[in-house]
Amino acid sequence: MRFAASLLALVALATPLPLAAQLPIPVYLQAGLGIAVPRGDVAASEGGFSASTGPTFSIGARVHPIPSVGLFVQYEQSRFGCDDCTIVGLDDRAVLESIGGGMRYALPVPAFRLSPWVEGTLVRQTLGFSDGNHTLASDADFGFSAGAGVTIPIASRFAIEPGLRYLNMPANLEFELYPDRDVDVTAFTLDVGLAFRL
Amino acid sequence: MIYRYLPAAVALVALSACQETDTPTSALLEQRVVTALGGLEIGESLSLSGEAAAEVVLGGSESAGDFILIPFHASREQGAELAVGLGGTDLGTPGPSQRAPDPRGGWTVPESSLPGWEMHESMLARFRTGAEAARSKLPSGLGPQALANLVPSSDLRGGDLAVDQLVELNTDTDGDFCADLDVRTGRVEAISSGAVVVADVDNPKDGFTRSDYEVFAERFDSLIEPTITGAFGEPTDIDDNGRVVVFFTRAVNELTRPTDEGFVGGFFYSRDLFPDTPADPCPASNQGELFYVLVPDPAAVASHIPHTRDGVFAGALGTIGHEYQHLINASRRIWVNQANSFEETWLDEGLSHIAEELLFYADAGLSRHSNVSLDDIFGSTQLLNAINQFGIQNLIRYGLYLEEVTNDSPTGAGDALGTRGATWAFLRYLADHQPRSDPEFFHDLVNSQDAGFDNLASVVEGDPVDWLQQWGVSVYADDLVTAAADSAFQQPSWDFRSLLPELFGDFPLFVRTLSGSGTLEFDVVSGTSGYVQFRSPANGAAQLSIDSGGETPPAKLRVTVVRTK
Repeated sequence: MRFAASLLALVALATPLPLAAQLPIPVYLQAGLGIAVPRGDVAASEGGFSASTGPTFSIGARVHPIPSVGLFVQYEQSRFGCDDCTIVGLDDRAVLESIGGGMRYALPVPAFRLSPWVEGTLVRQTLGFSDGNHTLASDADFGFSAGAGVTIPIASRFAIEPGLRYLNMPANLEFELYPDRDVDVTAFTLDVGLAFRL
Repeated sequence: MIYRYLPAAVALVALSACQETDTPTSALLEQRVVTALGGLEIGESLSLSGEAAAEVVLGGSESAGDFILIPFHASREQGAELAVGLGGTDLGTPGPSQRAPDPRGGWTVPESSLPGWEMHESMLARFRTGAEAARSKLPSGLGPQALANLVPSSDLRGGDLAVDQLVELNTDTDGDFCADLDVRTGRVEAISSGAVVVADVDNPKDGFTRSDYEVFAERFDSLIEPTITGAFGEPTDIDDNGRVVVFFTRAVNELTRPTDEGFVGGFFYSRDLFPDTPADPCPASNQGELFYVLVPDPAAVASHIPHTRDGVFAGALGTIGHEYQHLINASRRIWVNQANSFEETWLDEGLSHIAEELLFYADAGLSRHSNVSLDDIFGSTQLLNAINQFGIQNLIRYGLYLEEVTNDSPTGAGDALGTRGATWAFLRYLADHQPRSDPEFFHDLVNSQDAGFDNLASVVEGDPVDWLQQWGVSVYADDLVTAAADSAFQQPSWDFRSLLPELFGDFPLFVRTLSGSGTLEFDVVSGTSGYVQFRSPANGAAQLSIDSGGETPPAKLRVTVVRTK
């Protein structure tokens, strides 16, 4: 549901102008696919849930009011493996979903047509567990990610954007039967994005 | 141009802001998630009831975890039984659930510590039935106005009682409440500002001397009167003598039947509070505030059980305090508070055992919340003497309850020793967790127009059944689960884990063990709990199924699980 809503929002973002001509201000639709490698407490059994590496993907849009600075919004979902979950009858994954916005600073290197960048993102995220019938998700909380990558143009409107990010996204789970539990989700994500300029 | 995208950006932000948990979850899902996140910490607990208790998932830590599962029968229906069935999967065997006993020796149980209950129970039932009938027949009515108009014609009446005076007192307990007589002659042995001590002239030989009776009178004034009336209120004075009559009579000893293993230590008979007037005839009534106490009988002539002078002497003051609460409770219900009925037996007895405990505190120079331990007792002669005189019977009765914990209940209909021990400990726990002093709390319980659960509900904060459940957890967790975070699971006045092993050889709580893929079935009486220990595997989860007679647990089956190690 949330994913569908995000898609609709992105479509809304994309529809004001026809695709035939490039916009005077660069606007990109972007999507990424990669892996998320959990670190710290979340990867441990005590204080975490033995999270293991899982897939991650993202979609979003980015505008560049000036060539070196991009502002973006994106939806991201990481599906960590969860060995502790299967022991107790939960699905074998914990899903971290986030929606946020950030800023990218690009450093053009004309000689190589590459554009290294760094970016930071402020997100609002939830961590969810499911038993196949119901999902129990944490309260929405604020987190962040920071990363670096490089934009590699591959066609007039397309570029691939491999990147490495560090994310820190705390999750507070409220229960009726138990005291609250806090899980500090930290991970590295390594992904390859595809950007399409409108 | 960028502003053209603003609506969509706002939509995204709004979407983000709406990102809240709104999916309904089940108790089982919560259990699974918490277990996946490492499970309960030591001292943390999980409470489930009804259908939600059908499956329990626990564990999740890297090391094995020990748990105590406490099914509680949440019902006010006295004596009702609830079947509990448990099944486990892949459970380990838990470690010892006890603190290692620290025997000191030398704490001998006084002879007077084990009065029997069968006789007492039947007497109380008869007393209650007769008293309620007499009370309902009082044509002149109840309450302070009726008391003011009362002119009893008792031997005990007025302020002209004198030492050596002979008085005739009816000691019948078998026959008709207001009609049958078993008159004994008593001699006034001592008179103090609060008590008239009377001794049956036919008491067995080698009993108390006058100086003994004078000690009782003095101790009544210095200890019992201020302690007991301070907590429960003043008794009435229908005989207009300004005192309470303590009748030491072999009639008490004679209540012990040849087949009894125990004996009656004393009794109060509410019959004596009813007038014998032309308007309200009750010729069997002694028409005064009095109670009856056991006497020494070394040769066992009054019953088959011998009673030494020292043994009876040691227990008599506790008995007097105990009966005094009954007297205050009943007299105020009839003549002061205009209550709807006499107090129910379990609560009346519990309050009388609280009276004994209050005497212990007063005699020992302690107050509640002292967490009295074996070290305290053996570190002070004053405490040791005080507990032998006023506290040890409560400890023994409570231990007897723990041995039969699923069969006895603090709110049981009977008058078993275990029931009384449980009620005492429960009332102590309740008082300890109320935001009022002991006298304020107990005074309200005694000075009520309601009885039993209704009385408790009007005095405590919250549902008494909820308190019973939490008390049931404290029975196990107090002074054992050191990291217990919930103060509701603690009993701040007594360290039973140190005291009871000295009397019983071990902590007497009956704890069942569930291991492997085993099953357990047992019944739990209303108002009490059962105790089942189990171990979750390391890096795994313990899964238990719970039913009631093969059916889904009803709402009255509540389960608390506490991680203990």
